[in-house]
Amino acid sequence: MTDESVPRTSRRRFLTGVALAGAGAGFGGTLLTGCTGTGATGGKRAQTLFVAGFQWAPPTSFNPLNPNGCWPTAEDNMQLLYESLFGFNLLDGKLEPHLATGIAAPDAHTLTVSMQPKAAWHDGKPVTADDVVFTFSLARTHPEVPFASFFQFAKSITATDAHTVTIALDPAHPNPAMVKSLLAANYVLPQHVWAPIAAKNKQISQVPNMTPVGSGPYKLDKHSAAQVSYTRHDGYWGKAVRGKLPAPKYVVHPIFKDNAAGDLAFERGEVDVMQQFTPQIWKMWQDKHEPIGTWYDTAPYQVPGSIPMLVCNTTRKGLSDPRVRRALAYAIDYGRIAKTAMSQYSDPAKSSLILPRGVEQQYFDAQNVAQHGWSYDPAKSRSILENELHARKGSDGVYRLPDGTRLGPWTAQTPTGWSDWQTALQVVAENAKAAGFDVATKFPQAAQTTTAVQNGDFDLACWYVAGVSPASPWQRFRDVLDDRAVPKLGVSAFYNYGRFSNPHVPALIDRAATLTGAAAKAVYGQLDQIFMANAPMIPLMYRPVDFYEFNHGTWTGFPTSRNPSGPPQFRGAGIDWLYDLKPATS
Amino acid sequence: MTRLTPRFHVAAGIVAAVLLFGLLGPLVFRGHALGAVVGGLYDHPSGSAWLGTDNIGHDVFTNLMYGTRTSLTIGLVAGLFATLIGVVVGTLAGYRGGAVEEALMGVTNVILAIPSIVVLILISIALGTRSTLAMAVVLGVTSWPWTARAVRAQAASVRTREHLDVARLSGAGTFSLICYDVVPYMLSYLCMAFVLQVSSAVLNEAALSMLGLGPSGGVSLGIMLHWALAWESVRTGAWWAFVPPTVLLTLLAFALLMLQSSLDEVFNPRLRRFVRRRRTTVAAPPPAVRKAEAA
Amino acid sequence: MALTADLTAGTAEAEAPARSGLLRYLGRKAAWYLGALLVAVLLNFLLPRLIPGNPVDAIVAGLGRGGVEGSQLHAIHAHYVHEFGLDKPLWQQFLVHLGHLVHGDLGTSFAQSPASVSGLIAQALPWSIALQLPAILIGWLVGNGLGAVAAYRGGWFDRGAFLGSLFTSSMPYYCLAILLLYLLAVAVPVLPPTGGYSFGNSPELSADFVLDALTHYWLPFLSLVLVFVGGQAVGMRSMAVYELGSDYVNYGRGLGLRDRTIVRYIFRNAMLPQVTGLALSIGTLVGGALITEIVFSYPGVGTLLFTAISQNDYPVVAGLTLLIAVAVLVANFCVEIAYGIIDPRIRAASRGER
Repeated sequence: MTDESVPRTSRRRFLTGVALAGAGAGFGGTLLTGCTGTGATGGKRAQTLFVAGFQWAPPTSFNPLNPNGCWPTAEDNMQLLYESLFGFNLLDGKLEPHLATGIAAPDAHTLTVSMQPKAAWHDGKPVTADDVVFTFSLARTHPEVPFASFFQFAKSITATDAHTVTIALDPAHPNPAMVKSLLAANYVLPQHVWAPIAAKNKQISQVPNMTPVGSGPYKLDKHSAAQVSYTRHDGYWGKAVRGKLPAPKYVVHPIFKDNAAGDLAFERGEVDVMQQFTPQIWKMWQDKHEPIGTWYDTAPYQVPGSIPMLVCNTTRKGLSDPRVRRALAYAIDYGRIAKTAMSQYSDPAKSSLILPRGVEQQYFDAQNVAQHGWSYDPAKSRSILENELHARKGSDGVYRLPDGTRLGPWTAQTPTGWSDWQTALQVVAENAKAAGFDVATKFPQAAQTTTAVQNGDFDLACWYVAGVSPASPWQRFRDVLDDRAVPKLGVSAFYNYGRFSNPHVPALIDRAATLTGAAAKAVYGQLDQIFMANAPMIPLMYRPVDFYEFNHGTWTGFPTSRNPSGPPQFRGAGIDWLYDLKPATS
Repeated sequence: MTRLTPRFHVAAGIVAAVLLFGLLGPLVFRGHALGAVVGGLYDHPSGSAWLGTDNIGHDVFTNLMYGTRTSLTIGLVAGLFATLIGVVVGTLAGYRGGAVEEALMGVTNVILAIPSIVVLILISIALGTRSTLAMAVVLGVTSWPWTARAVRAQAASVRTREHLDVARLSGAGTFSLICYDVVPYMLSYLCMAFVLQVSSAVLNEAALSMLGLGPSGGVSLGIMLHWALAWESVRTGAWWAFVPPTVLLTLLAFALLMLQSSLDEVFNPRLRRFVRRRRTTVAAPPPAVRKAEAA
Repeated sequence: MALTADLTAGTAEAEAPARSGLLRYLGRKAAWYLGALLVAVLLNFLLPRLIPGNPVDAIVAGLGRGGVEGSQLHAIHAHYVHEFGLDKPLWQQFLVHLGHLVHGDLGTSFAQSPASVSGLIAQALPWSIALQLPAILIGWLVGNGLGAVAAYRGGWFDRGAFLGSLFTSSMPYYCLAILLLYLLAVAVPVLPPTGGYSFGNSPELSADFVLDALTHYWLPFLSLVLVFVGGQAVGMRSMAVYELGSDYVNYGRGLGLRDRTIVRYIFRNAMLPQVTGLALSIGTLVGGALITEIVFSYPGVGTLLFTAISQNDYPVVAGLTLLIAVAVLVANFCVEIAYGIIDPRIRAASRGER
């Protein structure tokens, strides 16, 4: 085929030209619409608050008793639809009145809760003490509810009159803090709606409840695989009590596939406030000058609320010796974890079970920690191994104890996809290897890791223990040190995964449950010393209860450390700042 | 082998360069050891870290070298496995024909029907800890079907050639027939199939690693991409985290594909377009020559 | 001479039993594909059980975080195992599964209960198809056009187009996706980075929504179509060049046929494998682009599959892999039928003449 014989197929060329022009026009047209940013009509956007970071899968259930329920109907989330009796404020530890006005302790074994007189459900019926009693009594008949441990701490719950609930504590082990924590975290359900459902369904958590009836300021509007939206209930009973309604008329939660997608949308102002781990968020306002903020405007940017731990399985050979665990604790570079794995959202972790900032600060004893605890000190790690344990380093660089136990091969596991925890474990593995341990990381799927950790089928794992709540730091001490209700290996445990045991702990734990103030601080100090001497778990970093970052391009008035109009939370007392938002002036 | 076009040399050169970078690079560029902490979270490229640091403080350039090495190793081993299995199955099917062929091709078709990425993901999850060798075996074992299909067609066409009748008449056994009389005639095709298998194995490994299912505890190009995405380097603008592995992967795949297509031209004279173009200016003479031959 | 005599003899013979030959051919093929389908169903049933761990563990673990105590959890665990039928022996579970399939019931998801598998797939499938079908079709058309033109014109255009197509077809599409995302959504924020449509909108048939969805569509579409175009162009150009060197072209030219006629014959012959490729691409469409969907947060089948695997959700995984296998088998079957009808050599080969 030479050039001379090429026929001038003008029709073909014309058609090709038209096709290209059409494609170009289409592309240009959509580019233009993209640039002008249409999509949601302007007016509605200004009345909508976009929240992200809670819902990752298409909503299939609005049942508060289902841990997979859609946000915010799953327990201990933002109290838009359903409300609990109190809202816990993690800054000062107060229980703000929500459906209840207050809680009193007439004696050491009783708590009385007084209800809001005007509280009402979306369908108009009043919220009474019977609803509360019904809700918490579900723990007796349907043991899969999230507050199933309620009757471990409370003996009975009764409605003394229409607006008062009386809770009798377990006289042997009174623990008002745990009861308050459960009361604050769990929603009250309407008895007239749920009594027939409970009677019919043994697996009450599986009921979809697609038309939820709650008492909160918002109602469910629409849901799809891409988002879930709520609209304000203008007949909300709380209007009389607070004097106003929440500012946004609509609250929409887009469902992203992963963190990166949400962060990109947040940067562009398509999401207003979110709970997501966003690496290097300061670049958004320092380099790109976006109207974005967090609670603090310098490191650590977030208020710590929980401590991801390196859980050591104390039943494994080598890890059963507390000196080996302490040597491991000295070998970990906490500053590097805070800078890389937590992207500077954490101070370097201290070796105490008490959070050094926030409401637990009153119990934190810095001197105690400095005297008995650990920090990043590879030389000390080596000296413990060689001088105290008389371990010998083999030709492969791994220590062997005198009885022949090799310090490895151990796997450190955490679920794949939890990138900050994965990176923390990678740092731990590197530091451990340099210090003479044989530690390798493993990142199975979340379900597998959960089973392995709960059954005690692991060497080392990065897992969580109780975060800040009305019952902390007591609950954290119990989760780490107390082995009384912990089943043996092979059976699921829900705290103390490493099966640590110490004879002095139970008495101290029981005493601490009833104390507050300076007396409690003394007991916690003793428990902390036991913790630091044995290192059953190693605090790796601090993490907020909910990440909190906002984009004040559409709404302003979000609380910060300079303007603390509310706590940096979504759950509990976090509902307060929803009332104080104002549209950003254009 | 005559007529090695410039394209072949360029492709082979790029492949050789990537191989050398991965295998000998760490010996030449003795900057940092693998796993040495060089800085913090996504430091910019600087004098000590030529391509900056990754999310955990390691040097990206060192990671790139060792990552290329791992990716290439897995690609070569997996390609070898896949080609071997595919050749064995395809040759048997094509040479024997009849029921054996129907059965083997049936199995191949069924395996082709099941999406390989799903099987790869499932097996990778089931393995728990994945060593480099295990990954290579898994990749090889799931990608042989299309080679088997293609080889079967080739073997079937070789089967009809005369030299096989001669060999059979002289009493050669099936196995020696296959080894000495069938396979050598398919060698050119096997070369190309191997190159394609290596390319697809490298890309599949990168895809699996991006999903978080790569070789545990090692560094590969896909794993670098996985962390680059997990730590949102695209959003924060840390281009040194995701551009180098992307470029290297593309370069490798491109070079391998170009190698395969230039090999195709070498073995398949009808595809040798540019050579002919360079020598002739007008197309008139060849048809005259052909006509003379046909007469 | 001998060649043409062979051909006429062959066609004369082919005329008489043509009908029955075609039917027999179709029948054998259909039988084979049904067999393959059954085996695929079995394999798809077994595949998710490869995932280590028990699906019930994940559900129970979620409940445990709320403080449910051990002994109660075991009762709940036993209940779920019984409800999902996991306590029956494997062959019995398979028969139950088959029974459900016959009624068209793909079961209920374990991890997202009480959502039904068919419901979840019905939600995700339109997004996957919408993402890939236009990319495949346009990629096929543009790619083949480009390859054909390149083969036709030759020279530098051919060389450049060939190398360019080779480059884009060899680039892994997820690499292209990441680079495009960086260039067009972050560095120069022209296009939206994620999702199927803007938040605050719900799917409806309005001009606004359609336009919005289109804007979100460009990036994933571009990353797929560029790779398809490359691949198709390379294939078409190779086939066309191959045909250009064949005997009938020279013979036709020697006979004095016009170039335009010869070109028609060439492209018809070169088209056949490309049509096969298109049909097979459409067959794999259901399971394809998994990583592109993940990179762009497109709510399609790929993300559904990956999430289901991470959650040990047997019914969803089995349902999706079955769907994909069926699509691939159907596409293959249609291609074989089309070949049988279009290309007489295939039928002849199956009858044993060749």
